[in-house]
Amino acid sequence: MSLRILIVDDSPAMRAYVKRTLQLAGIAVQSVFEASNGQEALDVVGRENAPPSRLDLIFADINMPVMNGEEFVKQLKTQENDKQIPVIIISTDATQKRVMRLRELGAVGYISKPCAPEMIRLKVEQVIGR
Amino acid sequence: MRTQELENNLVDAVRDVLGTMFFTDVVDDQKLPVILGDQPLTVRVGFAGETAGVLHLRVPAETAGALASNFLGAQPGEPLSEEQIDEVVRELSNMLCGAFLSRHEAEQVFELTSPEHVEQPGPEPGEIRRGMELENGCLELTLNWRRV
Repeated sequence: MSLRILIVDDSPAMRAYVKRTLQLAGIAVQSVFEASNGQEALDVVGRENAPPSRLDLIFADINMPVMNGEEFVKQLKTQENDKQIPVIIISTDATQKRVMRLRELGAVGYISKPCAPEMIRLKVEQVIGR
Repeated sequence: MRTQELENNLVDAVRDVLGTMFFTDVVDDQKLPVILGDQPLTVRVGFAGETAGVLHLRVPAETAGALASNFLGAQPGEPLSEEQIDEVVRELSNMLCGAFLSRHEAEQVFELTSPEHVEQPGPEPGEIRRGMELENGCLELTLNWRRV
């Protein structure tokens, strides 16, 4: 299976890190799309998750300008065509309150930064293998 | 108060972030003054919650380049643009601030500002300053911490 993945982060460096980690981990990736905030991400989802294409996985940060990760997940999960896309949060904010809130909204995974490449690989396998 | 505790958490955060994502380690965590060279990069991250404050990260240009190469997985000799290096240093400051706060105030929710480049930070009250020597350079952190 070759994945179509969206990485949502206002830091280009972090987007590059996740992208490189996926490559090094040997995860079969067909396409990686990028967005720098939640609003841009919703636009990408609207474009790239339209039949017959679909997105397999989204990585999203929390603290972003324009639209943060929490609001992005909230809106994504209200969209009938898109709500099934699994979202993994990658953030420096790993407080219990925040993790619980994101899970309630529908995020399937939470990775706390700093995160080793191995952690990202394991989480992808865990989520995609469901 | 807990100046020593704040400092310890700051050092632990640096070790964790650098070791996990930058593949380098702290050699000496009590190095002051740090020789920052002619064109150090200074980045500021603010945080606000029940406590608030500001973290400044300063790194010499050479250290910034070495850290960026590690983080982005650049091949030996592969040049990185100034923009790429700046972005990595900003992301580093963001992670350092988050890693510090999650150690020091684990139950609190904080909002972090976007890291921004600034000129050299001026001295402020309640300041903690720590210089560290790394395997591939050095850095300096300044923390201003206050209860809201």
